[in-house]
Amino acid sequence: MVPRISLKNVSIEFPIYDVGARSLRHTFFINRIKAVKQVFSEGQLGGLIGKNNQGLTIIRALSNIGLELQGGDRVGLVGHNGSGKTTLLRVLSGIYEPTDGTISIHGTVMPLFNITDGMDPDATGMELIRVRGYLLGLTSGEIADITDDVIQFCELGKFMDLPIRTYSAGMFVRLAFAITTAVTSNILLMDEVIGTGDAAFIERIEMRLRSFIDRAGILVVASHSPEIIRKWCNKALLLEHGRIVMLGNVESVLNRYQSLQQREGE
Amino acid sequence: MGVQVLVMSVLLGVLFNHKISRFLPFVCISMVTWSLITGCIQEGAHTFISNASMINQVRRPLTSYVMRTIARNVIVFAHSVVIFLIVAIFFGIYPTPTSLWSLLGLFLVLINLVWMSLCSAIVSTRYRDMPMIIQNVFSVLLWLTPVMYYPSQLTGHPAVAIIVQFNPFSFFLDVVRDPILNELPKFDSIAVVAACALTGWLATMALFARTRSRIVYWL
Repeated sequence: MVPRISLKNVSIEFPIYDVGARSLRHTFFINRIKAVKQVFSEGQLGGLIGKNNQGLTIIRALSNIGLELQGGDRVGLVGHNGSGKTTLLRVLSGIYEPTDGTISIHGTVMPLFNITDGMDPDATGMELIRVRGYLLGLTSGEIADITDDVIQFCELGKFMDLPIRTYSAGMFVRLAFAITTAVTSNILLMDEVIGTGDAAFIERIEMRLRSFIDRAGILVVASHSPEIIRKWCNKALLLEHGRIVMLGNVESVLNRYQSLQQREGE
Repeated sequence: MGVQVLVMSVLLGVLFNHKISRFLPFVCISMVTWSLITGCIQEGAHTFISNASMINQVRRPLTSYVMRTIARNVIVFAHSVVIFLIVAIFFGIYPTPTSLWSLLGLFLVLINLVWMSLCSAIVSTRYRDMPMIIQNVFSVLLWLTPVMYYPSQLTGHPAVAIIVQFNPFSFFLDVVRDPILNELPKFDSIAVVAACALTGWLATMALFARTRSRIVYWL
């Protein structure tokens, strides 16, 4: 099956509840919210900040994103901090359901975000394979099938039986990458993860990604490193304040990003 | 927990002039069931908040996190039930066919606990003072539920008896406790617990349908 991603007019708005609005007592007995007109303003960084019609502060992390990706597309997401790269990846992985607009995704999605989050530091590497496997929706049989492959690929050897709190950041990345890519998927989403691997591992990552590319999967990588984007992507997407500034070939988007940064620097 | 039950039931038994051979098993199974109930609901309040980092990484049904909380509390329950078994054998209470009704009771209670846990998780994620409120409510409910006294002791105190009677958790305890102490369960209790499950699930499904896609934004 050829994977396909289609986003139409997608917006993501986060309600920012202050202490009062997060309190049941305040909301029902103390606060009385006044109606305010909806306005958005943009700061130097981040999404648009505004108020909704209930006077609640909201951040519009993505505004009216339209995006069509097909098998074989390898997209690098660039943009300054808070421009919406991570939010977009989370939309693509189905974690955030759009506040506005529609999204349709055909294919099996494997997200590879911040793997250390939410992991019991006392779990061993072997246990981590199981926990991640279940989280990614595998059955215990499928987990058993990928286990050998993961152990071989990440080269952690005896460390697999030690608690993960003894691992270095690079070792984590090795294991996480090994687990995520051992599962056959055709949409791979990565958020700044490859950066911490050493040179030898980066080579192995490239081998894996090449076979992924041969299967005509969709790859979306958010990265601040132009080298990674140049190496792995055939398209790039520049985001600013949650809007798409430019989508096109890697060099022209990177140039545009650079000139944007210079203009901001002046 | 074993020590707590022992000290409490001996002390209360002496204060109330109860026969210890009947009172100790009663308090023991009541406490064990009560901790299952409070555990599922109070821990349920933190389900989404404490799993936030996982929820933000992988798309998984939110209910799977609720079931994790339930599973953990059932496992804890299975361990503390052993205390009751020891007490029961010591005082010569042996299982009879009647005891099997307890399993049905426990099953009905668990069905209720799942919606209560889910509900508590949803509301607590949006309103962060909810876990504290729930905790306080349950420390009051402990006294308004016949955990450490016989329901029959309330006869002659109609005002209190009414409050206890309108507390659904009294019936939750009844359906598990009565059969395991070899009394046939009261039909009323089973009916109340079943009705509670039905209405609770309907309400919770309506709430979950409305909030499901928003929960991740509240984390």
